[in-house]
Amino acid sequence: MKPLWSSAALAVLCLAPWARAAEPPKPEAKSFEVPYRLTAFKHIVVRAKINGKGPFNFILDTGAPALFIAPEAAKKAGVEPDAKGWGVCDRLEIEGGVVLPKAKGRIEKPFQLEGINGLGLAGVELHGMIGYNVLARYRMEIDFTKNKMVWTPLDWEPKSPVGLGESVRGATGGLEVMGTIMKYLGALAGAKTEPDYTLRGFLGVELFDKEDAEYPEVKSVLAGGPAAKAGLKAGDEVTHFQGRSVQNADDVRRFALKLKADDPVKLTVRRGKETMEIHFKTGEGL
Amino acid sequence: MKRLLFALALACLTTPVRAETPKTEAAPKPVVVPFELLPTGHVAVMVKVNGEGPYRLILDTGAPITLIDNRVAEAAGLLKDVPEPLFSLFGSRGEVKVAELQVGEQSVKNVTAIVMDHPTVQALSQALEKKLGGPIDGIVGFPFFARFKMTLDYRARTATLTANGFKPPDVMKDMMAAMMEAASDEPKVLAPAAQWGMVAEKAADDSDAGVTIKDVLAGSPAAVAQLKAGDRLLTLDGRWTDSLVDLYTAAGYVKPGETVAVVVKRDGKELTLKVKPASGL
Repeated sequence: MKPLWSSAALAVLCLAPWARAAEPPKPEAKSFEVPYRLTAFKHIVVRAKINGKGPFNFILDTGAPALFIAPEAAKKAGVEPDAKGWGVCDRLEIEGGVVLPKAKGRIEKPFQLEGINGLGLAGVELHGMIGYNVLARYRMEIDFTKNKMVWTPLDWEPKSPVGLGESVRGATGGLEVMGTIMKYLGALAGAKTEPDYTLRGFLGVELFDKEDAEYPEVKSVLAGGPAAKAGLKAGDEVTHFQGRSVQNADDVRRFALKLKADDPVKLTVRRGKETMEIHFKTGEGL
Repeated sequence: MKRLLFALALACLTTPVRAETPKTEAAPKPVVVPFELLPTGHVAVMVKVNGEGPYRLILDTGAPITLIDNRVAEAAGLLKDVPEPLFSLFGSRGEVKVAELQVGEQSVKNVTAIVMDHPTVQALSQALEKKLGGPIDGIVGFPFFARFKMTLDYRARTATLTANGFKPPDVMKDMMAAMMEAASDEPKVLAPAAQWGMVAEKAADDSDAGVTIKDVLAGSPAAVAQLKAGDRLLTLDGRWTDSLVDLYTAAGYVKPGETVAVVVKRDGKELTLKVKPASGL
């Protein structure tokens, strides 16, 4: 029983409902590096601004026939749906510099997104999908060993996707129920669509690893930064960070990953023959 | 109570998962796979499953899994060791291991797939079967295409696949971790990967693009790049910086010693500066 439900839960993520004919938008001519993030659900998520509002988060989805925009996002961007549920974005800008004037999209939220947002699985709130009517205008290079895609506008007019009518369009066979189930389970489990974020605190220390050295060395301290004020000096060797022994700069960075602003820091350093402890509080900055 | 419900949520999504052992292709030669562009805008590729076929499947960048219908699964011998279920949703037979999945002339060994008659695929298949001269039998998803640099060209109707050594993480495992994280009350700390030497701010009622640089520390990489207090930072390495969360997320991608472009607005003009952040924090 269990695996069957899970298959269904995953299956809701495949293939957005297709839609009736849409006019494809117009391209520009130049290559773009488009940043994306890969979610836990293995969705490629890109950010886009619509009419200068946003950014909104979209799944890059060759399984969707068109651009889908959640009604809330469309409203924020001032995109009004027509009687058939289509709206026109005067300006759709995808992060990385891709700009599409007059991009046509479905103003609706596919049930898949309800479930993912409800369970907080993407780590960001998803506002829609970018499908065929936009994607077909680009040559897209997708490579998960890189953190950006490369999009090159193609000089052609893709045909509008053909809708297959209500009877086929509605044929999710009950899959849409999974979206709702996932949403409510998420709510019951106290899942948040987006986590609360806090920013790493600032020390103002540049470190480097000398060849054959036992410990990382302070290359410089930024004047006016927290570490400089506490008396840390270039040339000091850091032996411990918060009492944990470190062997290189990466250790320090790793141990400091969860340090917030105004958190206490204890550095144990060797200066010449002396060993000393330096205490200070992290500041703001990066 | 909360814990119980969470366990329930997990139970609904869990399936026993076997470890995936991806094989990287030795010679990363680009393989051009032609595709059919369906009238609905979907991308269809011809796929051999354990040498059987070819069958027509949809290539779907939005699919976290590969789906194969019962007809093909039976023909390819994927169901030999799978017990017949008492009850099955959408004809689902759960996860199977495919010894060889070949899309066009590009193939992957030992890839997972889920056997299921996806209602949307079936509906699409029925609607287009006559026109295509055959049915549509499933979806090629992430576990396959993630192993390649994939260049999609709708005009040429090709997907060019070049092995890139990427090992697709297990979607189930990552999903569990994400659910745990989503239900956790602990805030997530965003850490820059390198040291920039600047402080940024953004007022709660400020909804304009970018964040404002509040301070640039003397001698820091930001100072060397001539960033100045008062600059409005618009993008960092091509990523929008419309909030401090955005800024720290973008800085999380830039490694020490890497030179990247930042775009700032100063005196009404946009400037592009090159910054090389240091190894530090």
